[in-house]
Amino acid sequence: MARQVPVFRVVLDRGVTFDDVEQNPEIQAAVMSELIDAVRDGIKRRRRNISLFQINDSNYIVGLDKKQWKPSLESALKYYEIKEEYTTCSEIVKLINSL
Amino acid sequence: MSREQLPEDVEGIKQSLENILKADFTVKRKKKTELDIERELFFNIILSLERLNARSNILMSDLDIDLVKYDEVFYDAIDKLLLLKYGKEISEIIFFYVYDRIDPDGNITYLSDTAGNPVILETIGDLWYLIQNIKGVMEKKNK
Repeated sequence: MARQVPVFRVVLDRGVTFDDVEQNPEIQAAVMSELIDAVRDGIKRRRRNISLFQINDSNYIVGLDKKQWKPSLESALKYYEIKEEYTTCSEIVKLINSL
Repeated sequence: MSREQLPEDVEGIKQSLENILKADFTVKRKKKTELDIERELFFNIILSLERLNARSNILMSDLDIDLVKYDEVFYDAIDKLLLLKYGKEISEIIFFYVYDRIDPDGNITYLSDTAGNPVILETIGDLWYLIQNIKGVMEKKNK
């Protein structure tokens, strides 16, 4: 089944900035997890670009060209190493090696 | 070639994602689906209703002009169109959002779900997603 592009919904309360968004642990976890799914799907379907999220209620979709998959997976690898989630680390290494 | 100016939220979220993943993101616009078109129309309709309601309230409170009877027939037509499109259950949530969500002191009141948990609707987007969830549950029930 084709991967559904999830909607990234953020409405900033007064005083909250996009810096706070990127520091939010739940958002970080969601982004990392979605990246892995998207790259896995991209490899399987031989895509040159993956769509990661649709933004809020717009028609805009943010994604990554294939040359950006490796650096983003490396960031995810660091993230999961710090979390000591080694099963996910192993999966990311496999994805990097298959690029 | 000039680059398209992105809406502020799109630019901000893109930048946040780039910082999280240390990678450059692309942005593309997807072709509008029927649901996208419905969503846009829905947002415009609710926004117009909110403005109409606010205008009536301001005329009443600031100038003591009561347009309730004059406006009633328009509201009645709009409410019935919403009933026709969305049915009773969803229309009542829309009416709550437009007419009752903000109390006279300016506080946001909320609905409760079947388990008694508060359902807070701060934006039209919240209302739209609640309606989509309810429609999804109704469709499952009817299968």
